Amino acid sequence: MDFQFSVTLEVMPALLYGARLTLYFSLASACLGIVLAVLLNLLLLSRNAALRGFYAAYVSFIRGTPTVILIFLCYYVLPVLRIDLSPAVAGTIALAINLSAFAAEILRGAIAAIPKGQIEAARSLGLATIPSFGLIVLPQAVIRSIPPLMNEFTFVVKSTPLLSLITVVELMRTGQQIFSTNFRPLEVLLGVALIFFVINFTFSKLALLVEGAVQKRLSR
Amino acid sequence: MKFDFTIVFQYLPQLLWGLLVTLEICVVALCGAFVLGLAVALMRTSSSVVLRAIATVYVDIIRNIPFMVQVFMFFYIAPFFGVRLSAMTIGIVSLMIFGTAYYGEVMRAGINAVARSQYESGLAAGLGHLETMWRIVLPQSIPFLVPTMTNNTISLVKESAILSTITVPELTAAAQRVTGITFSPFEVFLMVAVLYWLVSFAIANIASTIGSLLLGTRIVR
Repeated sequence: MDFQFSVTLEVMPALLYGARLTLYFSLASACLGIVLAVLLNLLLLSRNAALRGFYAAYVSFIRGTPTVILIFLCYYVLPVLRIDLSPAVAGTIALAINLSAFAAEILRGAIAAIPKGQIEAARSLGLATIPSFGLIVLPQAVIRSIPPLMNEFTFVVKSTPLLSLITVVELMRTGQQIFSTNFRPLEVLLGVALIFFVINFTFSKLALLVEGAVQKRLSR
Repeated sequence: MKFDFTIVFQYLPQLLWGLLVTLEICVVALCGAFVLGLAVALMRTSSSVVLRAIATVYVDIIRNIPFMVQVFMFFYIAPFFGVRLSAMTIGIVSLMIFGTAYYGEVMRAGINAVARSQYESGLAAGLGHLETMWRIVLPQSIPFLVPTMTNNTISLVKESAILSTITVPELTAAAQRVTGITFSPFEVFLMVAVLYWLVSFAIANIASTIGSLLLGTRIVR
């Protein structure tokens, strides 16, 4: 058997369409995941030990469980709860939940790095707990966490092929559909790998640039 | 809404058998990845441009392509060259190749975290490059390495779940098989999630114990 690179080029337009879907799913789960991460960090503000305990348990469980399993759990819990959602939505939620645990830890680290004086200043100006967190601490913490969060985004992109396991059509499944008809798995998978490489490589290099900019801004 | 966990407990032995396979795969693949990762780290910190370039390209390619895509490529590349390998072998090899890049990056960062003067003093004391690395630089990078290597090991064990897609009979595959018998996927996958979590939890604890033992004996201030 011979390797024909022309096949890779031939299927590229179809794969790029799949890549667009992959990016949509990644962006949707990233947005939802970061919102969840901020909400999780709100739990840590509470004096209630049960809420802080929930944070610890949630983060530990999600970080200790494979993404595939989370995807299956979100997919199969729907009929049990009698909720009718498409596999794409269930999968996006699963990826968001997975990201939320990692992003919450990044945010927690960034929040811990904000000088205590900032919170005290906000409180002495008369801001309540939540507004001083939302208006003073969070914006500063978010700037610090942008580079690691961008890195986390590449992990989201890299876990989207798992959505193909619950029948969601994205880049990986598009590839599988193509090579199940043209019987050229290697050429097609090379195309899939190339697209993933370009997306993630660009994004991780961009994260490095942003990190430099953030460092410069913070050291000023 | 109805959950029935009793049926899952009936099939627990099958799941535990799958867990055993997962652990076997991970031990073999990750031990290999540890050694190869060290080689990659030494290449990335070497003075030779060629070695550095090869290691950098390797790490960049592996780290920027999803593991599932890599596993599928290995699965189809073997017959392409007329070689017949079991799914198990392909699974172990692909996890090893994947892990090498991640471990290599961590070790490189660990080497770079040690002050350069330590390396230079090693050379000045008459040690060769590799001996300085092995005896002076690497032992001092351990405090940096332990937490990051632990996190990486946990995520590599989690990635091993993807091997179920090429029919490796590990924990996730066992779960799918049991689901096919009991028709209670949610309960089964929840049980499996707990099993994976226990493994991650155990790794984290074992690693922190090893870390404190190593720090007690190896680090000389």
